[in-house]
Amino acid sequence: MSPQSEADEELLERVRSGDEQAFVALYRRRQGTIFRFLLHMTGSVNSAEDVTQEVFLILLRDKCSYDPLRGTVAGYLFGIARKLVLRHLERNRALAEHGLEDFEGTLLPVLAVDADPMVDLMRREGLDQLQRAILALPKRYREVVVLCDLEEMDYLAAAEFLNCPVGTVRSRLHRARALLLDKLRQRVEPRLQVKTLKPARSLL
Amino acid sequence: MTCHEFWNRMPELEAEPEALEHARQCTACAALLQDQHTLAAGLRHLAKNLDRREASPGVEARLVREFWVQAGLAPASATGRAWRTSLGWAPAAAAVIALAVFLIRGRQPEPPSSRQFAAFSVAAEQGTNDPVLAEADFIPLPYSSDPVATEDADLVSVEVPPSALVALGLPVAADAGSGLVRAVVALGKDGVVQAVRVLQ
Repeated sequence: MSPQSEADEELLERVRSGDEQAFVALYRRRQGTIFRFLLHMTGSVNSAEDVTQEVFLILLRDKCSYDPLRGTVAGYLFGIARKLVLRHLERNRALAEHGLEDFEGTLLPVLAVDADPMVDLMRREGLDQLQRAILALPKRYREVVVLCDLEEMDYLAAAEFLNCPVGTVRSRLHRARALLLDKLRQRVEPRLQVKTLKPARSLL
Repeated sequence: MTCHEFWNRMPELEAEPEALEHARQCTACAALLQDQHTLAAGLRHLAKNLDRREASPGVEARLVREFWVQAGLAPASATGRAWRTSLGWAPAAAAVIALAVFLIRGRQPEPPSSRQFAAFSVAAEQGTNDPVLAEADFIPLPYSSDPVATEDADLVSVEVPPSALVALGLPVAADAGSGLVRAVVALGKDGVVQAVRVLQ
């Protein structure tokens, strides 16, 4: 049986017995999804690569504690990635302020900019804004958008990966989309800064 | 269906006729629903643009190397952030080493330049193999590459101004005056002065 057709669990078993081919096959099969999730969560290619590497290093080292009774290898790897990236984001809160230079060259060519952010979403500037808006979401909302909307994972799988009920995924996704719309509209119509008014003392 | 119920059933409401009926009747909800559809389309578009994005081949290469390390087939090396960090520190480390070399060399006497050697009134008696010259009498120069072995070195007798000896870091008597000082230099195989013996 070729490594490409083997189940993740079988590959992991072979990795543990020192089979390099099995490790490479498992890595190539799973790194894309993990890397993209990390890229969307951090907004940085370097950080995404660092954390992707850390995830698979855990598989190689003694720290791997995968238990087939508790879920799939993919879920296990994703759980590690999520834990590491949340820790990474805590350490590097400033990353949220990063521009999107890492994404450069991956989007569509520049087209006309429209004043309507919703119409513009299908163009490059709109997609840049959308990426920034996703990065600006609180982490718990960002991850459901990345999983369900960008990685097109169903709610059940997302709930398994996030270790939460399906209802939580749905409500977070709903809230996340509302926040995204709000952020996109704010870019076109920045909210007026309303100063707090002090109560005026009556002259009478 | 109220607006509240309508939004509580998001985001799967498209499949429900009751919800669609509400959207037809409520313009505010219909507008919001339209925005949601556009957003969903934008997200799909974004996903499509990035769906082939993967970690660079360097990550796989480093992991495979780590695999060998774990299997005991390769020496341990820095990986991941440590690898990137070490790359980041490399220029700083190089600068520190360069500075250290500069300072050490700065504290050493400059080797005599060719001009200084030309100034040596080369009474140079090439190949002076004076039997009285003992190895212990030679003062090794700080930058000399190999230990002084006068039996292998070319010995050259020279007359130099005291300032040239000072430049070599050798002690010169205060009463040496401005006259020339006789010395024997031991040249290494590369022709560089390795040691000096002051005769006067």
